[in-house]
Amino acid sequence: MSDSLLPLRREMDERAALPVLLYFGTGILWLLAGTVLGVASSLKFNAPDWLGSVPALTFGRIRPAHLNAVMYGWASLAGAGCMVWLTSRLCQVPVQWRGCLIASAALWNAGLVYGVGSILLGYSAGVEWLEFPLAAVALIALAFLLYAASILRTFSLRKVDHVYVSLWYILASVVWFPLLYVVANLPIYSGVVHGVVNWWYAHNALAVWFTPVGLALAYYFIPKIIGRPLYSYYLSLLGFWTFALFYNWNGVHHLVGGPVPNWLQTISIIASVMMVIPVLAVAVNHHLTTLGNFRMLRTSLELRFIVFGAMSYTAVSFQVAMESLRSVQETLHFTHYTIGHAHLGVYGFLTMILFGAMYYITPRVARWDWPRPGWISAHFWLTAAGILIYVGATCWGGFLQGRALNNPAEPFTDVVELTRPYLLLRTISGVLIGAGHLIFAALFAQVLRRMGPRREEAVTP
Amino acid sequence: MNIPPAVLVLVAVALAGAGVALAAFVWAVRDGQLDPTNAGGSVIFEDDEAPR
Repeated sequence: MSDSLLPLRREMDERAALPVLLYFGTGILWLLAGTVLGVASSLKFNAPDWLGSVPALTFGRIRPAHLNAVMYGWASLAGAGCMVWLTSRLCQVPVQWRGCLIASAALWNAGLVYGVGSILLGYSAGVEWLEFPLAAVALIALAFLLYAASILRTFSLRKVDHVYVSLWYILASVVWFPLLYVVANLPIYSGVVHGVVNWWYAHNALAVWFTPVGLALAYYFIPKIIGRPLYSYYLSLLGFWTFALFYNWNGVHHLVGGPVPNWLQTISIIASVMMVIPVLAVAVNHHLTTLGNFRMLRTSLELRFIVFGAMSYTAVSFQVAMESLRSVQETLHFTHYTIGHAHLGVYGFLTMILFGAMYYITPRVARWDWPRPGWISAHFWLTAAGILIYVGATCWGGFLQGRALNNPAEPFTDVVELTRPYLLLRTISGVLIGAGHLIFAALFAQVLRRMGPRREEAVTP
Repeated sequence: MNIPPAVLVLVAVALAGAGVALAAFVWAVRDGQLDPTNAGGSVIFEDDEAPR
C-alpha cells in the first residue's frame, strides 16, 4: 500500500512492454481480419449469391476462417498479452524469459497466417474448431508452450506467498491447454470417437483457455479498479476448484440427440448443470463487489468494459446450464440461437473484458496515455449495443426458428423466410461492432505513435 | 468389448491431466493456500499506485 513498490512496478511494466505490445498489436490485426470475415459471412445470409463465385470467399471457407481468426488470433493473442502482464503483477516479479515470449508471438502469427490461409484456399481439416492443418497446429502448439514456459518461470520466482485466484486460472490454462490442443489434433480418431473428441476439444478450449483468461482478468480488475477486495474471496477459490472439476465434462452436450452413447450425453448434461456452482461463486463475487460502486462505471472506462463482460459471463453461463437439457435442445439445437449464445460468451464476456484490460494495461507498458477518451466511450457504446442487438436477434430468431422447424406442417422455405429479419439485424449489429473495432485499432496505433499525452507516473486509475 | 486405441490414449491423457490437478490441490491445501480466510483478496493492493 505504499510507494516503496513503485520502482518494482515500473520495472515490471518496462520488462513486459515489448512482448505485451507485440501480442496486443498482432491480436488487434486479427480482430480486424476476423471482423471482416464475420460480417462477410453474415452478409451472405442476406444476399446468398454475393461473392459466391470465388471459391476462397464462399461461406464454407470464410465462416471457419472467421472463427479461427478471432479465437486463435484475436482472443488468444490479446489474452496471452494480458496474462503475461497479470502474472508479473501477481507474482511481483518482472516477466521472465522474454525471448520465449517474442518467439512465441512470432510463431503464433506464422501459424495463424498458414492456418487461416489454408482454410481460405480449401485445405481445411474439416473439423469445427480444429480446421487448421497439422503444420499450423504445430507452430501454434510450440508458440503456446513457449508462452507457458515464460509464465511458469515467472511464477516459480514469485515474491508473493499467496497465490491469488486469478493466478490459479492462469496456471490451469498454461498446463491444460497445450495438452488439450495437442491431443485433440492427433490424427488418430475416427467415427463416433472423432465427434466426441471434436466437442470435448471445442468446449474445453473455452474451459481451459478462453474462460480462465476472462475470469482471471475480471477477478483482478474489478476489485483493483474499485479499490476494495472481492466480496467473498474464499468463495472465489471454491469457485475455481469446482470450475476445474466440472467444466471439462461439458463437451458432449453439443451432441445431445446425436449418435453418441446416452450415458455420455447424460454425464455431460449433469456436469453442465453442476457448473451453476462455480458460476454462482463468480457471479456473487463480481456483482456484489461492484454493487454500490456503479457510479465508478461513469469515470472508469476500463471498468465499464469489464463489468459488462462479467455480467455477460453470468448470463451466458446460465444459458449453458439450460441449453444442455434435452427438452430445451429439442428446440434450440441447430438454430441461430447457438450462434447468439456463442457470441455472448466469446464477445460479450471475453472480448469486452479483453478490451477493458487492454485499455488499462497498454498505457502502463507503453508509458503513453490514450489520446482521446471520448473515442473509448464511443468504442464501448458501439460494441455494447452491437453485441446486445446481435445476441437478442439471433437468440430470439433462433428460438422461433427452432419451434418452426419442429412443426412438420411448416414448409422449410417458410422457416427460412421467418429468420430473414433477424439475420439482417445480425449484419447491422456486426457493422456497429466493426466500427467499434476500427476506433479501438486507431486508438492503439495512436498510443504506439505517441500521439496522446505522456503518462504521468503514480496516478490512480 | 472392442475398445479403439484412440480411447486408451484419451483415458491416459485424462488421468494425467486430472493427476496434475490433484497434485496442485494437495499442494494448495498443505501450503495453506485454501485456508478459510478472505485475507488473500488483499494481495492485489500491495503494489497499489499512490493516491493522486
